[in-house]
Amino acid sequence: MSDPRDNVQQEFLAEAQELVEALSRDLLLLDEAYHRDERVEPALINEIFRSVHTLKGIAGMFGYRHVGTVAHALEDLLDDLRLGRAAVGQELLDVLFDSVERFQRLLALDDPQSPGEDASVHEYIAAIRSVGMEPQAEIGDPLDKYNIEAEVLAVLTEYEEHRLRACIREGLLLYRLRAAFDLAAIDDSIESLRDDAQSDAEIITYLPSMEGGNEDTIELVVLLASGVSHEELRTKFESRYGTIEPIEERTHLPTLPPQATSIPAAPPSMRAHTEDESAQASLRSVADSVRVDIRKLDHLMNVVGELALVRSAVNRVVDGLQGDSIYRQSMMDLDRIGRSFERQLSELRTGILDVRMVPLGQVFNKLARIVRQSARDNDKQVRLVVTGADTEVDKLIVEELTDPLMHLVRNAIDHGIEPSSDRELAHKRSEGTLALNAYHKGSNVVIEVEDDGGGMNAHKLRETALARGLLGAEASQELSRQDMLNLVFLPGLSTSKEVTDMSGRGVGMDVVKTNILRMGGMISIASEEEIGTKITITLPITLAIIRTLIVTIASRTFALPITAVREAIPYVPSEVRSIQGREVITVRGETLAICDLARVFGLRGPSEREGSFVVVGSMGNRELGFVVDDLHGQEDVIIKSLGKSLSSVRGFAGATDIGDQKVALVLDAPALFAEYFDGPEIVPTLETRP
Amino acid sequence: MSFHALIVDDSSAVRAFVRASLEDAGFARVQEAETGFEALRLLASNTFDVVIVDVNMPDINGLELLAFMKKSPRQQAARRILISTQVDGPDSKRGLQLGADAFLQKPFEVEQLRSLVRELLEGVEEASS
Amino acid sequence: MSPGTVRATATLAPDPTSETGAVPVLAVCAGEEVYGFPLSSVREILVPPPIALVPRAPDAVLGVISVRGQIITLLDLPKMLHLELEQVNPYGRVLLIDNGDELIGVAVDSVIQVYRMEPNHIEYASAMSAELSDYVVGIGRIPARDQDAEPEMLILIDPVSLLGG
Repeated sequence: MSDPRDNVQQEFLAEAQELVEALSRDLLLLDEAYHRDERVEPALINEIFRSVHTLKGIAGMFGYRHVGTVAHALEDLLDDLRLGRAAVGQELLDVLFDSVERFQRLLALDDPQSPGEDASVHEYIAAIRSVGMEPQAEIGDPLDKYNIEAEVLAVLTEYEEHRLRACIREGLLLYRLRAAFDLAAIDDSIESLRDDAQSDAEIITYLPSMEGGNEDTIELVVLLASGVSHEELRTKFESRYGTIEPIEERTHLPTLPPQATSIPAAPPSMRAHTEDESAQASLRSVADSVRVDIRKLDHLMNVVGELALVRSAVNRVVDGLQGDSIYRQSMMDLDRIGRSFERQLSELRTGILDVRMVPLGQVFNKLARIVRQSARDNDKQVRLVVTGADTEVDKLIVEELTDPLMHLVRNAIDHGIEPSSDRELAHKRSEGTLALNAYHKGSNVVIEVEDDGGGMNAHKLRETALARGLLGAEASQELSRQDMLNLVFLPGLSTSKEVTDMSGRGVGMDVVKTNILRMGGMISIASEEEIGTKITITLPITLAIIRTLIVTIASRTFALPITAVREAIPYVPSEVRSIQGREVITVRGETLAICDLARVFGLRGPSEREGSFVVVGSMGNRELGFVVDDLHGQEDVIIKSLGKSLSSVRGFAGATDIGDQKVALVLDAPALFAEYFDGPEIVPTLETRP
Repeated sequence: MSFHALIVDDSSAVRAFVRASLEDAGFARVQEAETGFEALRLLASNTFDVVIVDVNMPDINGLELLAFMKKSPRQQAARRILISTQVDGPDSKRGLQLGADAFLQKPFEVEQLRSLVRELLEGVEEASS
Repeated sequence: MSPGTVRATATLAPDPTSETGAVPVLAVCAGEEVYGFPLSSVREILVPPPIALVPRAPDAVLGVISVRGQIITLLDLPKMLHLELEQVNPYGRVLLIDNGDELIGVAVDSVIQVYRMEPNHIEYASAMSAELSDYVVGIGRIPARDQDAEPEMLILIDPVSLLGG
């Protein structure tokens, strides 16, 4: 019999990954609360404890020894924290944050028991232990104060008991809420009870009772602790849930000990949501979701594509029968059925694409940790503001975006935001702000990374580019301010050694741009000295399916994504003029540069027949007219990538089936634009293959 | 064997593991519950031969579930296994008083689970649910 | 197949049923030469579907084809080996070869058959010109297809070298 663990390994890894992500999110919230001197919700610490506890449990069962050992040590620390034996501090937080990367690395190991990791794991565990605990004196048992049935105490876990004691110590009163719930809808009912209770009471535990229940309903006794009056609680809960009675205090109490200093004088107020909390809520949202392997989705999309081809084939058969009137009725039926089929197919396609979509919050989460780390490394104060984390984007895009965004965020903190002392001198808030914003715009998604730092010095960029030989002296004279800022995207503009020389940005903006272009997107930069810098990335929402304009170039069929097309006009060769070596035409009084793709692609000689149409492409604020032979209407196509073998060929976003096993290449508008405006790339042949 | 089993644990990996272990050993029907609430629902409408419960779950914990089962006529015959991280800790002691028949300490092996279940079901007729 | 493995041994998976460690090789005809691919790397043999030209792709790339929804790069083998020979168009068959990373299509005139080649009857490429040895594992001999003629030379190709690895 095979080891059941083999099949379930994937299940473990997926769950472990989720737990680590949840841990990361919660740690950020904890960090935030601590730094703002806010009350740390016990529920939050308990959540963090639970994540680590569960991780420890499953790691042990699936042979991930190192993960289990680290989780165990962390669990002890977190237990101290949640049972009040230790307090939150900077060192403790740092140790906790360290765990996220460690877990991720340990989970990714080929050999989860690898002895090579022993040393590093030991070191970390020592660090965890050294953060240690400060024992608090336990004077008398607060539980003695109340008449709680032994039955109830018997089913409380250690933690629930601790929360009970903590609440009593804080001066809260205990209540019993009896409520009957419909078994079928119990999850929702409990959630709404939780939400209702949140501002006034802490729910210690839910006890199912056998009285008053039947097949469809169950009665629960909910144990609550609250600082609010009985009357208020009754008004709030009795109409919707059930009776709420205080738990009687013992008539003769043991002499109460003097209160220890750690207890606050008045019951702490349970805060309503503040602005920051709701901004954080977008980081916190955990979708109810099913984990999906994206390759399965790709396969499904292929099947949908094949179905579309089947539909075309059926169409052709119907067309073939056109003449015979005997079949007229059947053909009309078939046609109607065909259209219905097509509608369903379209629904299916949309549905599958939708499944691929994930919220950008996933990436923003990782970035939040980087912001925190970078800020500490650079000794700078940075406040992160995130909006639009629930903006959805194709999963593949999210994966590709992570690196470029990490880069931009690090740059913003390393070079953009000034040290607090400098900021104060400039009359700015001593805390710098980094804003991440995402929203949908048409069929694109826009992501903005903005900082209120020192901005970039356009002239200095030009000087550096000149000095590095990346720019000719003459060309440098003709640059607009925006052109100068765009120099930051040139490869070779800076090296990490010369970071201080740089006017504002560091390594690798050229790499970021290449990555964005490769995804079919655009990136632009805006910056004002002293005020700040904003980088805007525009991407198609999904890479998978695109509406395209079908064209012929030198008798071959190509597809051009419609998002890049503004309009198509007839091409009149005699109207072409030449300005500074570029061919242009005039459209409604405006000059438009044109590009003969047949020539660019080497498909046509200079003396051969010209094209008949100009497709006016538009990307960002640039426009370029593509000369083509013919237009063939719009088609929704599924873009398939060209193999790795052709990854060095520029100008094509992929290819697509257009029926009858024929293939049309899909043009990569951003790349063609970049090539035209920013200079041609070297076309590799097999000789220059790396 | 066509015994009917219920696994209650908030970890999907553990549930998958228990399911795979039991199904491979011939259990025809294994049901899963992620929360105490879901378990209550299932316990109200099914009769189980074996119920495996994790003690540490949020909201309704394993102990509370055991307390409920103790009072439920439908589940009188069900064998109860409590999973916890410390077999000799206070949670387990309470579990014993609440009717647990056996304990499993995490992490546990496939064989441990199987032999424990086999032992508990020795001589028991298959339930007619 | 991972890049960096020693080519000659990695691509020649011996026939498990053979006592001598003979390697099954699929022999094909392309542009007047006979080429061979380790059978283990040949995934499929197709009738050539319509080919879409890819502008600016390396010379040896004829274009791309669609096979059950997957876009596959199609190579002209003699061109890739820089042998100045004319490839006859239309091609008779397309081989789908697994180069370790993806499937690559190779256009050929015709498929001959599968031969079992003994490793010690193969003259390995290291003994030949440097240029060829990028793609070629070695030269082997197969029985002549015409009777009475000499055994023919078969150029054994390394699948990993096909635009991949």
